[in-house]
Amino acid sequence: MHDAHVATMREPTYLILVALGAGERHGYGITQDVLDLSDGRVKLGAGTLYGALDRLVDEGLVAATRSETVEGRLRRYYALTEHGGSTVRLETQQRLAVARAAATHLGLAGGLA
Amino acid sequence: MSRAERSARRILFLFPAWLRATRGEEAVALVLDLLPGHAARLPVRSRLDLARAGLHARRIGTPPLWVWLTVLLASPRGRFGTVPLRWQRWASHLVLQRRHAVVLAIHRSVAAGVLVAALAAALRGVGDLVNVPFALVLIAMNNLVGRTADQWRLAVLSRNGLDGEGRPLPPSGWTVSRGWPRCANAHLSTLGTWWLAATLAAAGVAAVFEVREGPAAASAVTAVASTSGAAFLAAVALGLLRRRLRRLDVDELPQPGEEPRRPRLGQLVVVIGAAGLLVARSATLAPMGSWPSIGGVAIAVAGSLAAVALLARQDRRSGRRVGLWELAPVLGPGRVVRWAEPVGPLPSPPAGRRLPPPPARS
Repeated sequence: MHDAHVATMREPTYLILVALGAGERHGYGITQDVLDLSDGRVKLGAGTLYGALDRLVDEGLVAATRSETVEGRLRRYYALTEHGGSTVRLETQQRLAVARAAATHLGLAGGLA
Repeated sequence: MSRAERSARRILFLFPAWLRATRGEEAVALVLDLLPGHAARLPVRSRLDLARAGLHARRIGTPPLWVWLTVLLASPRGRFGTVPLRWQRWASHLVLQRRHAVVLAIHRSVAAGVLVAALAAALRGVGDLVNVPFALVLIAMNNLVGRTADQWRLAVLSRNGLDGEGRPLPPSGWTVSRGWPRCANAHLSTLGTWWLAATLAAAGVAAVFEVREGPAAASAVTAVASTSGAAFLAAVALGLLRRRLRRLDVDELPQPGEEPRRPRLGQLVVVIGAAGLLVARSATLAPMGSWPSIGGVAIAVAGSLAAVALLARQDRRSGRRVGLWELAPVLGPGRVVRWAEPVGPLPSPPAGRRLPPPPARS
């Protein structure tokens, strides 16, 4: 199950899971965290974010925790499930291993820190 | 509502209704949060992103035929209704929407219409396809009068482990079963027995008139009117009977495995009455004046009126309106269980198990 997720996980999905790894977030918080994590490269729109969140909720990786209304706008908070936490950790380890191997292969000075 | 919000809400219609209902508000809120500065218009990039996601969701958000069928066929006593996790929100949105009774009637009528059309074409030729819209109206009305929609809704929700608002139930601490919950229909209004008796009698009289006078009617208009009247009344009567059948307004539910202590005498009468009604309804559409149609109408009138008399007597004895299944346990739910109740607060530990206070240091 984990391997299937890892093998098909795209970057926006991975970044959403990493953003949620720090604690529960609402939609806007996730987009800002993803923007920071990707150094401004990945800008999630509402459609992309909720499409991904919907899929992650269905797969049991993410769950909605609570909702509140701020200035008339609904904010729903999401958090990683236990299964989601282990999946994102496994994915990170695999990505790290590939990056280390790539650095060594390319002869980058010092490899990865 | 700002111009940007109006635009976002318009684009949201590209999403399937069930997804719009669950995620629509927060998606709009996020779109507005992401607006650069005080922009009045929605940027093209946001529009395209939302539209693309909506079309994608619509493409993958339509359930396969078997999922649609199993939800449509869900009933308290049946075996259908369980859908994969992925389609649970679709199913719960379908049964929880405000017009779920109409939705069910339309869906079932479409399915039944296809069946009727196929049968008509196979048995008599394409010329009799004009009966199809007539049959659709009857089936839809019967579903509406019979209030099957509430049972349908509860069957789909309980079969998929969802509570009355479509939220997943915790895996433990709740009692969920495919049986009928007591609170499911205790609040439903049920017409008095004599309404049922009057409708049944009218249906019987109309059917007799149809059998006797239909073939010799003076004009085509009279024949169609008599057929329509008989079928209409039979459909209403059957709907009322079905509503009574599902009534579970009892003070104490029997324990699982324990059958209600009610007279078994009614069983045969009720079954004959219900079967007779079915035959009577079919008889109005069958060749007129034949012995099967006359026999069907006779059984319908006798059996149904006997069932009504029995119901009235039981109502008087119990001081309330009983459900038909109480007279005929075989017609009742396969297993009666408690309805789901929320988990209460955890009990505090008993006083005797509390740790003693630490000894005072000298």
